[in-house]
Amino acid sequence: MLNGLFDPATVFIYLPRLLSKLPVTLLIVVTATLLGAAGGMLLALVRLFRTPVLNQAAVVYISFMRGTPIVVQLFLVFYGVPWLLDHVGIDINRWDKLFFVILTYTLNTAAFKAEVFRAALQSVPSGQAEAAYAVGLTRLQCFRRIIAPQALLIALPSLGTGLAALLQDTSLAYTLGIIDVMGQVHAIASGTNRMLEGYVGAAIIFLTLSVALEKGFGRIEANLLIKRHH
Amino acid sequence: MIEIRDIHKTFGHNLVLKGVDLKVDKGEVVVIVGPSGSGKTTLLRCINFLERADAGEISIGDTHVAFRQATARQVSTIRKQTAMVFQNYNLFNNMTALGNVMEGLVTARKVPKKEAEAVSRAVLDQVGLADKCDAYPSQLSGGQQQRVGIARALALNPEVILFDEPTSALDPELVGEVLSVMKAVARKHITMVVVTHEMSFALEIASRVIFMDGGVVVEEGAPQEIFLRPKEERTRQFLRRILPETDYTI
Amino acid sequence: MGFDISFFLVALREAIKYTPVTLFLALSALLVGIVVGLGLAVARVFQLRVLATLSRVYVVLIKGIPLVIILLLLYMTMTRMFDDIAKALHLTVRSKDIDLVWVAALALSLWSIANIAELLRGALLSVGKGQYEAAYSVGLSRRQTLFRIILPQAVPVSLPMLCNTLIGLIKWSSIAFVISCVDLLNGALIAATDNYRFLEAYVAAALVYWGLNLSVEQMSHQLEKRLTRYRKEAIH
Repeated sequence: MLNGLFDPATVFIYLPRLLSKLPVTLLIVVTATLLGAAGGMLLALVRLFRTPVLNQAAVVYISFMRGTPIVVQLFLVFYGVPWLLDHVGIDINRWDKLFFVILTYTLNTAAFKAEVFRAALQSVPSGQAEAAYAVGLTRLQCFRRIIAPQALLIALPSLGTGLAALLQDTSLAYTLGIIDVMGQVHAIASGTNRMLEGYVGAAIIFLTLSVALEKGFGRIEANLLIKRHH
Repeated sequence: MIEIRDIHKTFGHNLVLKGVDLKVDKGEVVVIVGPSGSGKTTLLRCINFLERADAGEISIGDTHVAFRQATARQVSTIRKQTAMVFQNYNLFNNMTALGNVMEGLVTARKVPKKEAEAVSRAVLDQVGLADKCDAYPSQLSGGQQQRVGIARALALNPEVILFDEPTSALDPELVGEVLSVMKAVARKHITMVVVTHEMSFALEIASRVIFMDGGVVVEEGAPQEIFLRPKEERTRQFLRRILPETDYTI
Repeated sequence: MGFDISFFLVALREAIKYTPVTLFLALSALLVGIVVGLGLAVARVFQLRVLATLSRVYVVLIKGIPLVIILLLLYMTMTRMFDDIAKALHLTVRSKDIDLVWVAALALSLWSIANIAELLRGALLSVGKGQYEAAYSVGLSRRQTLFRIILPQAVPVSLPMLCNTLIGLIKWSSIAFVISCVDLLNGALIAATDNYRFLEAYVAAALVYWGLNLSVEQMSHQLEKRLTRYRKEAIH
């Protein structure tokens, strides 16, 4: 009975083929992380400086992104962005689906990072900025040389969990038809009765990545803390 | 009466207690002094089983146990005969002053609520906090919190109350109120073991002073003997360092 | 192709109609998560050997494997294995008779147990060591210490995080649509299968999810205020 149910050998046959699509998953994660971090920093500054109108817009945007499921966001972007752009005469209906996927994860990441950055920037004591101005640094210099490095250290654990969460979230990109690791499971196994083995293979890949990520971030954090104390 | 024989305790590679004997008679006030790291706090914590000593025996009342072999039941019996006053007060943050004092009676000893409340109100009155029964710890000053801590210990009517540096976390101006409560407790012939740096308290109240250093008892005796005619060089060194500060208060 | 307001309203109505399914999924998983997660958290804080290790491995597994994979794995084994087992036991029930809501609820519960175990562990540890020691010193047992002293202080600390978990569960419950379980999202989508107006359906679903999560957030603020009464401003 169990033989027909699950065949461990198939998992190992599948693994290399799933791994061949890992670059797609990683591309989504890395691009969304970098662009999302930039967007998040922008949003955080808008919130911190209480820029009129933009601040309120940022609050609503962040709340929406944090309050709705990522699957829904994927399809909202997929259907909604071409529809919006159509109104200004731009036709992007034929663009690659990967574009919409990366855009969604970027928009989502920006919202989450905005809150992380804001909290981190706020937690740097105001005496630090005062001291920087006192020795003659400009506002930008003060931010770049004094505030940002300290805030980054504070934000690091949250950035780590954010990255892990993003990796998990990408497992849903296949619902839009992207052939990443999860998409590949469906591409090679759907129609056969070996889907289960495909999912187990994907689970192994995700699990390995997320454990590695956690270890990596733990090490970076430890290193930075040591540097600071010596 | 409480008796401890040959207690040893190691943290990692650090020998903190290297065979200490301690005997305290009923109604005695024993003050333990010594430099930090001398093992005095660890000694108190071992008596209350907040740390598990590696070797040695303890008898309190009718209970005799070896530290290492003590069962959960024996630990509980010993804890019921001892009470502890902590350096950081450690009042239960989620309970009022009255709740703090009642907790051990009602939950651990199953004293009926009414009776426990009467006892608790009485001891809170004794430490001068009758009007603070319904205050939460966050609403009390450090001195008041520590007085509640003492009331919490008193209410249990234990064989011995252990004081672990009860005034060292307090602002200087609040030390006096706690010390005077402790003096009042001492005058009622309640057995006390006190770890403190307040030499004036030791001189005035202690029946016996024990000087510890490096995990052993270096010297013990009446307070006047220890402070005015110390026999050991290590005691003299310690006193030279600590007494100039306290000269004014003696 | 414009935005069809009237169809949007139809989809909105469908989404709201199936909201109880979403709430059932999220709340049942929250409840299971609190009960089992508390057990695992206590096991780790009090260092109960086997259970503590088990709990650690469990958390790593669940946090490392995407929820959608867990859901699909459960779904596949359910549909494949269930019938075999049922046949062997001579039961007449078959996997197709089982409401898929239960499969989704199970997957969400597995996820919520791991999350809640971690956050409760943090909350239990956030209550200082001194509170444990003071409780032991007045003669309380470990169980009494946990229930009378530690939990009353840890619960208010963990409440905002538990509300976050609930928000996470409400959002993640949307993946039930991959196994065709009819919830808030799928309700709205089914309405759109005839006219392909998916944008309207997704907007409707998004608004309902958003509304739900905003109310949870509000509730969280109210609860927090009420439960931290003992931490009033200090009056010296």
